[in-house]
Amino acid sequence: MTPRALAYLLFTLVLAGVFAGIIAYYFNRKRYERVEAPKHRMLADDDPPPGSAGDGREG
Amino acid sequence: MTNGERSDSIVRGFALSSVFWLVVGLVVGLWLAAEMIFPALNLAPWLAFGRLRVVHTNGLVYGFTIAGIFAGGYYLLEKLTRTRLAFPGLAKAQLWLFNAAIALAALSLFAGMSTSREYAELEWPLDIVVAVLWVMFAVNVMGTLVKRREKQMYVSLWFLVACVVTVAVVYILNNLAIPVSLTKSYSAYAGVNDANVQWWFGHNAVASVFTFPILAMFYYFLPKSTGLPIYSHRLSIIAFWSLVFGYLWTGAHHLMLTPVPEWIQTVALAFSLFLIAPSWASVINGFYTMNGNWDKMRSNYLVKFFILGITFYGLQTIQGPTQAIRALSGHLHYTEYIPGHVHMGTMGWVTMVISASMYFMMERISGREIHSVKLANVHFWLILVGQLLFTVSLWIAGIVQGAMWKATNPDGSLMYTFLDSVAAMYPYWAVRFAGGLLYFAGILVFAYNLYMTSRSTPGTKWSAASAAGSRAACVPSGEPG
Repeated sequence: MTPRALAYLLFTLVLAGVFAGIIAYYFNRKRYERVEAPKHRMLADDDPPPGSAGDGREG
Repeated sequence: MTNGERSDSIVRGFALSSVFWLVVGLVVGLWLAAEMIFPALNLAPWLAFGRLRVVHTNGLVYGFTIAGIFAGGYYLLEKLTRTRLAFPGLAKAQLWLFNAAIALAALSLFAGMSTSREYAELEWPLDIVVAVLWVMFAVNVMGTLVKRREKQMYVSLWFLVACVVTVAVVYILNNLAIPVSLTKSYSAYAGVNDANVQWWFGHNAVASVFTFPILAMFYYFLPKSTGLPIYSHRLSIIAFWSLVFGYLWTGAHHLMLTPVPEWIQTVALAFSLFLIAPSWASVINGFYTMNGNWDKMRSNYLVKFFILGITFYGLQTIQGPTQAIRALSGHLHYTEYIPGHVHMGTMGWVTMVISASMYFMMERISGREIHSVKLANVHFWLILVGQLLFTVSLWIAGIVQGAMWKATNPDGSLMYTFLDSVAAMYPYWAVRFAGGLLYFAGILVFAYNLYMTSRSTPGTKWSAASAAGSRAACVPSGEPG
């Protein structure tokens, strides 16, 4: 195997490993509540709190 | 965020600009469809097919879709970060520069100034303006994310960031060119490399413009319209990362059976098939979100747009990868099947989701209920039927065309001349034109309804309860909403 082919193979394996890691991270049962929380919070009232930067200026 | 606050005028400006360029792009598209049936309409040079086609594609990709992305992107960015835009003045300048750039782009393409690279036809001075516009957008998106008050990023924000990054990378790299005058340049790449870079850009423009930001809107506006959380946030995140991992490798499927090295074609084919999984993860997420609440398809006019939109996305992402298979590509490439495929995505998925998102945003921005739910329903049915007539007729036309090109007599000679295959297309082109007319009528209804909703005329102030009530009231018993 040429160095170039080896580099391609390693790059592919690293990408596949990172991808597998992402799936394992997000589908870990321990993190279920935390990972799913934003889908509920985005439904809540999303008015920015009073006094946030630039309050009241029309863009 | 309540009516009249900072980014409302910017979102309204981009939304109305988007609809304006949609109407312009569709007028040009209709003229093109008519030229196919009545070649005498090919009035060279300004209304020649070759010039009008690029005005049509650029007008709808950059004028309509990008403006829709700016409108929807800024709106959901503020909501999901629970803060204001980092640089509202910059966004306002972006709005004016954007419209000036699109007008100049249309004029330059009408005048025949073109690089002849698909979806990258603009000459170098306008490429620089596009890059500046994109930097303005990126600075606002990233700046707002940095000062966000919501620590965890909802998936729509991930998709928005992917849109910002990938459009910048593919647009700049593909448009590297050597200018020879103010209106002419030559690509920095040559031969097969040029083709490979061009279609790496071409296909990822589809990912960056027609997929990532539209999914961002879908994942935001469907739950907001229904009050239902998406089925699975973690599934949406895996779909996001899978798309990001897979999309960048697929461009060469546009170059099947060409001089591009075979291994590059095979990589593109493999990743194209792989992409079915993450695409359908979003489709399943959308459908399961509605699980047990399918009655909202009748009672909430927006839901129909989103669900039909994601359905067309699902069909599109089955059709696209299968077209990459060599045998099918050999039969279908360069036939009418391809514009049929593209238009299901643009007229079905993209336009349905952007339309519904605009209705949703405009109600809240103007502080009033939608001008007419009935007109929104008319809009929906006209664009649905129009799109189906358009796309299905072209799929059939493409299969017929491919078969005629390859049919041989027992002695090995071609059974049909090329002109035979052109003549066989006329009935399909007529149906396509009729579908386009219906679709255009639906878009005119949409433009009128949205404009009337955006006006500050006396009316009922919007509230979630009153809007829900009015939607229900406008749906006669036993009739689809």
